[in-house]
Amino acid sequence: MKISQRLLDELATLARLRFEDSEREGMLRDLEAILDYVGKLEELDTQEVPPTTHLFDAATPMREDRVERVLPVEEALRNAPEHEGTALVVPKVLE
Amino acid sequence: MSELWQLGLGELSACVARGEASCVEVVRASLDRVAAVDEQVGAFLLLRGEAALREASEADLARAKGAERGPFHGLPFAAKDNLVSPDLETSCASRILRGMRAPYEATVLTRLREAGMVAIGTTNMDEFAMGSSCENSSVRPTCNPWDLTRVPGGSSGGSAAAVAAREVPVALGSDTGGSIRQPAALCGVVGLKPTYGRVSRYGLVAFASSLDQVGALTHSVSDAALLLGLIAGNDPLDSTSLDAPVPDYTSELPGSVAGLRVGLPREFFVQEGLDLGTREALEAALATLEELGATPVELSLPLTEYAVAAYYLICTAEASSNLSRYDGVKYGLRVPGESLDEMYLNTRSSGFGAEVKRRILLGTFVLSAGYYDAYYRKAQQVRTLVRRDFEAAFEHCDLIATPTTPGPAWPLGERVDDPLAMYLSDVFTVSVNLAGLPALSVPCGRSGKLPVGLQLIGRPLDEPMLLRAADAFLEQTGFHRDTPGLSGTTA
Repeated sequence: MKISQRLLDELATLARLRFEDSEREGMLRDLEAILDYVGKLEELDTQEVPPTTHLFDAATPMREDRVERVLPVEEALRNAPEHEGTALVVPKVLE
Repeated sequence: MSELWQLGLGELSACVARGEASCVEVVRASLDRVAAVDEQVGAFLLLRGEAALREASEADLARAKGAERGPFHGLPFAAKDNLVSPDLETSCASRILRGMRAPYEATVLTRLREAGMVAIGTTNMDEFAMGSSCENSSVRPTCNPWDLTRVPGGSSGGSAAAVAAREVPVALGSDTGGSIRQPAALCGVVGLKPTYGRVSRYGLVAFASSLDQVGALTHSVSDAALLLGLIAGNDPLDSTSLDAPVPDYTSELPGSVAGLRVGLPREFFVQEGLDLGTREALEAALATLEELGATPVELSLPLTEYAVAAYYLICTAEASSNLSRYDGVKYGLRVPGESLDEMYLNTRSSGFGAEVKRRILLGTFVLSAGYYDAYYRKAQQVRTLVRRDFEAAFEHCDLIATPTTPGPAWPLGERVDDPLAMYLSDVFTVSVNLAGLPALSVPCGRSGKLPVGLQLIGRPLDEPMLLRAADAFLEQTGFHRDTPGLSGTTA
């Protein structure tokens, strides 16, 4: 399958990734080679085959609804690149 | 007599119980071995030297008082760098997580530590477990202890190399498409991937959640049985963990294959590109199993040639979703930007390596509007067919035997520019993950000077059968006692 520069841009935007001009050619070539290869799945007739959603038929586990140990805010924020009080700091979202 | 660093977990446990060595001596022997050889091998990312020795010393005190927590109290292990703990920095060998120290602990680490075991450090891996050679680590590639110019396999390449170089008796790894079994084969050690859900994934950094499973890399099958016994079992913190009783895996040992029907799927043996030395080692291994009383059953797994394609569609889709959490806000790297969106872009573009970006992009594509049915849904349908393939095969056999990989360890750098060639090196391992089955790789001889792996695949939760058969094979052949002749030995 051919991937256009525009499709590459759309995917990169969705994935929040940026590619330098020097990376674009290689990325396009690799994606096309991989998609050509996976195209072999079309040889299989799967019209009547249900997709796998779970490997084993286990019932959803239930538990009592009670409060257990929760992560203290200070611990949750410990790895944040920037925080203030009990909040994570991010660049301004609203103008 | 063997040196302490040469011994496996069960042997060390017996040695300490007999009073022939202290836990401090055992942990120090491990750390000294790392100091002697790891500059060449590069298996470890982080070492907890002093903390590990302190824990070993506490274990000695507890043992002196008769208050030991069990037979493994004070004995060392290593963890792949994708298992989190407040005591360890976890980076998944990625720039985007460097220095991250999680506020909670992976259940498998908690279980080993409740048994008193001592984490000596974390091991190298392909970034976010995406790779088959350990070359996608953002820190450095790990080298194969049998030939330092070759890859150790991946993604648990650091764990496999550390065990092969006898730097540590046992190590934890994770296996999404072969990431325990393939490096175990390339490094000549035992690698066990349990049934999906047998072991908790809580605290394992997610790559592809429907395929990931934690397992063990060890010198011997008996050590794999010991370690699995410690980490297996239901965990309320992982709702996909299975609620099945955990048997005493060591009760299966010493093993036997007498009367077992061993399935030989022809697709794994007629593969084009199966290395000659690998084929010869496999044929000899199958002859050994037959001499030991197993009955070979020729069968077919016709979906084999489609497994890699289905696997890479499913795992990249799941990865693109799982890795959206790395945004420069909650933890890890942040590269500033004028707006929130620019900060995301800057952070992710500079934090992730090329292979991770490639897989996120591919996963984003297969999940996007207009392509979902043709790629993602199709792959999940093929996954159903792969599972049916195995179910049909297991009507005629008790376990399945195959080569773990098409060939032995390849030279560093050889496949880094060809992602598809790298993906195809997983051809014999990925279908097991698609079906959620247990499988292990044991050393079964050499191709030239390099180790070759025999893969045994079982029915869901039939780890006992796998361990029994693998143990019988290694006891007969002794391949697990071969070790690489690393020159750091006397340092």
